[in-house]
Amino acid sequence: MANTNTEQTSALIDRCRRGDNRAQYELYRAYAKAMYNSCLRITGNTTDAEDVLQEAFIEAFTHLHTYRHEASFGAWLRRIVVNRAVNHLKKRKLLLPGQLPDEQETTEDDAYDTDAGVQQICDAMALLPDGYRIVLNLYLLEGYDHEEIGQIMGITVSTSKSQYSRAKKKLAEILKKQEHEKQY
Amino acid sequence: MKNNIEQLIRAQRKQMDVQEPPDRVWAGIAEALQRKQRRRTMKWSLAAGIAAAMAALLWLLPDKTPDYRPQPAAARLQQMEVYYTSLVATKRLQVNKYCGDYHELCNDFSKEIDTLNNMYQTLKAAYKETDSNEAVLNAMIGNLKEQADLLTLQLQVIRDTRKEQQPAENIL
Repeated sequence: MANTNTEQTSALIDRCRRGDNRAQYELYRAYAKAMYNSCLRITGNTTDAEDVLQEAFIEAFTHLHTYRHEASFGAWLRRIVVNRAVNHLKKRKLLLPGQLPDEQETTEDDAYDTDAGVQQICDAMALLPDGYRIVLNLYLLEGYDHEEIGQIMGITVSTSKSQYSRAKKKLAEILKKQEHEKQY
Repeated sequence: MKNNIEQLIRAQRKQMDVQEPPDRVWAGIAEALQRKQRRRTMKWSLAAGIAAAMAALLWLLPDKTPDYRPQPAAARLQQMEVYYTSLVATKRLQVNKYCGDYHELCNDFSKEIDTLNNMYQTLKAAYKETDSNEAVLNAMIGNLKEQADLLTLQLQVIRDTRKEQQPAENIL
């Protein structure tokens, strides 16, 4: 099944390289939703997410000849999307390495257990400061390691690790507070 | 049962992709790709035109022997040359009208158009030197057609861009 999907994607990519508009639309439909949600989580708002998604797909289609099948197409596309999203925030001066929150007081243990639902977790993640939110997203949801996150964000591996650790603690703090407010 | 945050988020990863991108995102992508495609086509046709003009020049210039054969179509060709010269001049004026606002788009093809125009001037000189050789005149007309086509495409790109930027206004 996975092979069939890979073959279908390869066939679509070949048609896109020949300038087939229908194939471009099919490829977009196959990946747009997942990529859009990644954009939303990183940028934190729909307007920026739409801009980033549009720019990323235009870049992907115009540079499709550089895709060498070394990684899956989804991983190749995701890297473009993530780089675009982070650069978008940098351009708007929303995220600079020096602006990463590094000494925020967090008291909660990141081993905190919860039965929070998807929406509750998404809402809590949206409340994190930009730097925490992005590192947490890239590591936990997009599957990058700290070295890759360092390259994407222009920070050191140790900064990425410490940001991630603090982001988890901060998230636990927010969730705990929300659960406490729900109870009373 | 309660779970560690990290495990919980990883387990719910797929359920987090719930939002659908609006249709306008694809519309913007399709429009940008079409514009890039048009520019690519324009550059290819221009390159072909320049190559054809250069081939014509190389073939014609060494032969400076006057051609005394009867040239019945010469008058008609001369009329065509006048027509295309005026067409190119009109289109240049139309493009120049937008150069203030769309400087980058205007410059996009100016180098290529100038190259074609230089080629045309060389052909024109050759036409005089070869005592109105019909083949040179044909090459001149071909060159002017290339210039007119290029200017038409350039105008189209400027109009499309203008339309995108000012959707509510009356275009042209």
